[in-house]
Amino acid sequence: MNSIEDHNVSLKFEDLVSEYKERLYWHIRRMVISHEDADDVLQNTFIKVFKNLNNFQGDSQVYTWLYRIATNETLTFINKRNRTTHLSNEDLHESLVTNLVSDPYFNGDEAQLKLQKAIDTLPTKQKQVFVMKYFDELQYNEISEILGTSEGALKANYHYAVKKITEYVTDN
Amino acid sequence: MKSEKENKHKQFDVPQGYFESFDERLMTELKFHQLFPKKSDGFKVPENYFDQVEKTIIQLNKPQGKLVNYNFKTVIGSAAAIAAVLLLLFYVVNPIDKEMEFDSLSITSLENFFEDEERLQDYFSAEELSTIENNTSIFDDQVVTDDIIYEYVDQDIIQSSLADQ
Repeated sequence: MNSIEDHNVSLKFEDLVSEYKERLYWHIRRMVISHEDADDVLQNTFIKVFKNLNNFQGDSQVYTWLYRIATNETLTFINKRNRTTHLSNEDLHESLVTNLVSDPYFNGDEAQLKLQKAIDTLPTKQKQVFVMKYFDELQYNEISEILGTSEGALKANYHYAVKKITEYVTDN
Repeated sequence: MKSEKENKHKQFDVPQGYFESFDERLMTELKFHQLFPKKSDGFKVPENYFDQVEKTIIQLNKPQGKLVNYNFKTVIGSAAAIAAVLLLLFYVVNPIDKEMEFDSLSITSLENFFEDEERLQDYFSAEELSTIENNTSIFDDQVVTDDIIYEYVDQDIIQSSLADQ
């Protein structure tokens, strides 16, 4: 089975799956909303990880590398889904969030449903930054490495996201 | 005294407008945390999902006939054996309708493939791959993927060739 060297520790593919599957799943799920879609993207992410293990240079931390792959796979999936359904990103997400009420894998209360609806109104970049900072609890320097965006721009993105969410929830 | 204090801070700098916008940024954060004091997204997963998905992912990525660390001398012998077998298959399966000679498959391609363990498509031209696909019955009703070819070459040709030696 493939393995990579990170900080002089050999990591097997199985170890990576075991260690990071949950973190990556939640990162993906918060972007794609539905469990079934998150499951697909998670599996595709690890297939890509497996195929590229030998190309991992070790110049970034393993989880930053994994997050980057998961983020790219998620965006690819979202774009493909939008093309297939012929709906705009906003319309599609609105429908997905509306369906959360009857989703067996969503047990949020009224506040959490409102939060999801508010997140849903954000542009993709702000949504990504908000999810990574607030839910995934990543540091700005880590998000910067994953998204290739300056820390200053990320802070601005996060601030605008929080502001829009607060305004949406207050107004609704 | 005041100017000394200011001088102390001259070695540091802050982004333009930092203090002017600080209050607004702080209030936004406070409001948000008042609205959502508990950090939760409300999502859940099916029971035992993470155990099952781990097994699925490992299973999906199990190497299928991946060739590693073959001795290069053995590889050259094996490559010759492969070329011979493929050539034989071509004439047995499709002796008449041949647009491209099977022996035009490059032995160097085969050697490079086994030596570097890279993707098959990187070494065979599209025409060569098409020749393999069109002129044997091995891949009937299947899309020829790396895994199928790896498996075929590794198990059916190399292993039996090594067993015969």
